[in-house]
Amino acid sequence: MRPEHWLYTIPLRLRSLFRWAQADQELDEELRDHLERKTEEYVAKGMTQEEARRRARLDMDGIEQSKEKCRDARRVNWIQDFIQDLRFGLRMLRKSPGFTCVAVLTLALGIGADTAIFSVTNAVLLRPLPFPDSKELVRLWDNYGNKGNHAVVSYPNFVDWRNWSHSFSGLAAFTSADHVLTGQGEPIHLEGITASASLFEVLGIQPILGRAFLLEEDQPHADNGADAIILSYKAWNDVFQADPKVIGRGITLSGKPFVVVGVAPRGVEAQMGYSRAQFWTTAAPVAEVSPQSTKPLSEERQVSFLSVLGRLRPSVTLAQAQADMDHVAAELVNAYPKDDPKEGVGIQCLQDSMTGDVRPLLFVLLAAVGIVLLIACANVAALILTRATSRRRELAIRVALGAGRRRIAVQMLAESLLLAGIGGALGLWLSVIVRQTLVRVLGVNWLTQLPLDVRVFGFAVLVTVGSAVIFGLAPAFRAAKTDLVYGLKEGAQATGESRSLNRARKAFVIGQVALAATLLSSAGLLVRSLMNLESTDPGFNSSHVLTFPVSLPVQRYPQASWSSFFRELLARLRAVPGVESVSAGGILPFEGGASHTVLDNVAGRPIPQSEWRGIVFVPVTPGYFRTLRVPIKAGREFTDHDITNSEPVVIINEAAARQYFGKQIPVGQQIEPVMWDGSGSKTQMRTIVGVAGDVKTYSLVQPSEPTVYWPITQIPSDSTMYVAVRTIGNPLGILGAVRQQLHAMDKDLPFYDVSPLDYQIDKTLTQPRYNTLLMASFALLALILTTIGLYGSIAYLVAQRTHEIGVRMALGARRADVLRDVISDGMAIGGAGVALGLPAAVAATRLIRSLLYGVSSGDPMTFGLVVLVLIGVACAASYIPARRAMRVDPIVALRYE
Amino acid sequence: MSRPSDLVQGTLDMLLLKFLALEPMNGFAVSQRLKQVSGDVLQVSDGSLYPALHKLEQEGWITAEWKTSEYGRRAKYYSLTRLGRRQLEKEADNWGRLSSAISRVIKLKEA
Repeated sequence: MRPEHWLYTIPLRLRSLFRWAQADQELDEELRDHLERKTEEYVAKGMTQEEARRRARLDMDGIEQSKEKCRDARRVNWIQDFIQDLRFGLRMLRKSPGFTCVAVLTLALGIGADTAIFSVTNAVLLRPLPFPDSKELVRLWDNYGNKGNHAVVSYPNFVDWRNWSHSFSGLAAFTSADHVLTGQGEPIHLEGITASASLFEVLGIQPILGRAFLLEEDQPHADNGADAIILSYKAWNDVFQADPKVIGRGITLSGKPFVVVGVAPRGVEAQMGYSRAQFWTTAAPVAEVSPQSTKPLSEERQVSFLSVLGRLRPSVTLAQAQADMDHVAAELVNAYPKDDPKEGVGIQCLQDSMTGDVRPLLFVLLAAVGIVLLIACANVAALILTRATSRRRELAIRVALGAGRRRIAVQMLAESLLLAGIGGALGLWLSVIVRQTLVRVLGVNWLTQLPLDVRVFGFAVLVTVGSAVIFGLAPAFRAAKTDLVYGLKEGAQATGESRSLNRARKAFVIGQVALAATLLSSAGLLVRSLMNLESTDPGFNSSHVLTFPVSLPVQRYPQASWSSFFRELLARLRAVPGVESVSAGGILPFEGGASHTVLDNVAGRPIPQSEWRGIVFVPVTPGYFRTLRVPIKAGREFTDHDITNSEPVVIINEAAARQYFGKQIPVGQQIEPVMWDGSGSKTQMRTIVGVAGDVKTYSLVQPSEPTVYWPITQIPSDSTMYVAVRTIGNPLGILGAVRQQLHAMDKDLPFYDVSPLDYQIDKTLTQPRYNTLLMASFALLALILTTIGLYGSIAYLVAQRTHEIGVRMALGARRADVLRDVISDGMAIGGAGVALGLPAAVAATRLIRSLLYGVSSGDPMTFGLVVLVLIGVACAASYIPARRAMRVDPIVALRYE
Repeated sequence: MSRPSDLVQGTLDMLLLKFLALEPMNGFAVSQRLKQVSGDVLQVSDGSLYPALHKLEQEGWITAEWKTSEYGRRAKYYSLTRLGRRQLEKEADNWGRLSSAISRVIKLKEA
């Protein structure tokens, strides 16, 4: 129809819809006016008043009938019919509350789970990060050693990137910067971020109070004046009670004066990946001296420690920026051939780098809840089909009274839509309740907002209408084919019509079993992965070990004093009652970030730069391996005799031994780990005295990296050491004594991040456990819904066959035959579902390969188990109806007809 | 009593459109005019006239407006819309073709 047509008709239709009373009154007036005139006309012709009025009325063929015809002409048929259908549907649903409750709850669960997962997906993947033009924000890193790892950059390289690249309107570098707040009783350890002054400008955000860093604040103060500090929103609230006059306040961190210049908006630290950071400082890191060298970090091209964030110029694409940075990287290698054995520069959208881990998981979960919803829809469809059979008479009567078949189908659809609508509304409400929990469970804590926006709402509506169509279409078609004769005949049964109805019912159940098979096998694989993960040997014994970091402020502790400080601290701790052994290391497994170096020379063979591979180095005290119970596979552990003047020694792990010596036992061989100090004077051939077992460093999933250990007495390379205390009893029991010993040595050292070592391992398992739990609950839900569907359908089929079974038993069939017959019916349905579901499951599990650990996506044991479970469920679901069938009394069954 | 179904189907619509094309008028005037012009040949009962008018209004071909009549009464006046004018042209065309075709058939001489 033409738009012009609508221009005239739409207002009229709306009027008839919503102002029908007024329209009706006008109709009344119009006809009365006509009658009056007609009467006047007849009177003028000489009739009496009475006669004239009678004639006028006669001409009208009955006023009420005419009015009704006028109303018919005006009726907005389909809308009013639909509203009528909905009203009728509501009445029907109210009349069978049991059916309505089951259907609505099933749908609410399905739609709710779908919407909840989608609302998180929407917030994580579809909505931009809360920075202006956040699509322009990218992460940059040196492709050094392990490719794809978010490696870091040295300060001079960062400066060259900034000066030599053309693709960015701004680059900012940042790293963690912890400080100690002293002078208020117990020293407090605070985590923070130190960044180039451009950080806030690149992110495009303004502090909510005060100002961002000034560009000149990038240079360290010459005169020891106060450096600028910006507080996180949380720190401002917690520490300064949201004092609006905090700007300009001086605070002392780690003995250095700072002045508060601003307060950052809420949540920025989490979006930068440092959810526990309390403040931002600038300039500080570049002035510090690298522990391994004499140069300040600002000149140390070999020490990478900065994360880099860039903002692309508006018209520059990621590919152009990559090309630009490739060029810069090549120039850097030309300019500093000795320093830069780098493998180019990596670049990625900030949003991708934040969501990379959770993205596949979200898609898998979305697919999983989609499957659950489909299964739920099939159950509701089966319920409606069952009801349709008992409503056959009602429908037949309506057809007999002249209802069009289309009209009946639409009415059935309206009822489905009503069911889905109620279920959907309830589901939306459920999703709002659970989605905050879901954010925590999925580990996307950096999300500051989880909006219920148009997209989420639209998704809920779409899913609702979609499920109404899925579960309502088949019953609607069936209803449209209502057969008058059979419908009205009393007790008509087992006709061709119900046979095709049964086919539809079986198809639904087979589909359910197939869908459940995909979900069950995916969940099964995840459970097996988790079991593998939990039973993975980390390479050390984590129970009964208390760990904590000790960070010596370099201002008060010169490098030469580090080793003697730790020697004394460990001696004091060893004397604490309940302590079995004590040690310290630059990192402990699952604690601290590993530093990398390279080997310059292995067993007398110089390694060319092109073959350099990163190797983790860990400075340790004697007893490190004994305390952690890391097995020494060959040679010996470090002892108190490995001191500055003795032979330079190292211990390597098995991964390093394999990589550099193959099957040869390397004890007694010499290697030369490079110590980055520019001059190379500390590089020294060192003798391998032992081979330690491989230890998982960050997570149980990743294989152990090649690692070289050396005694801190020979190379004191870090002011921060992690102390491990192995205890006889509960490691938390000695907490007080340990704190006392630490503060006895230096009361200004904070005692923080103290935890039993097994807690640290456990923490890395939290996410896999939650993921598995989510998938397993969805799979369980699917299984329960499928069981209900199976049971319902088989019970229905048996009820239909009561008469037949009665006849067979009257003819001599044994009860066991009947039982076997019904169960084999159920098994046939289950078997068909499994046969259909297995190929789908194989395809589906391939998609979750990245979430698996130690089990292949086509694991035969998992699939076998799934098949067994589903066949078992089919068997169990048909057993109860089969028992009922077995007890059919032939007399009763036959008399019933 | 003559029903519109006695008329060639759809003719009543065309007649009403034609009358309203001449000038806007109320239902009573339309019924008078019908009688006058067709000389009682086309008898349309009042009971059929109003539903027909309402149908035309719903189609968007005519539009109604409450006005005060020459007798000082409030009455509902119908007038043709642009759409209605187009519809009238179309129907008049069809009618012309149909009637000339029919008359040609009727005038055929027996061979």
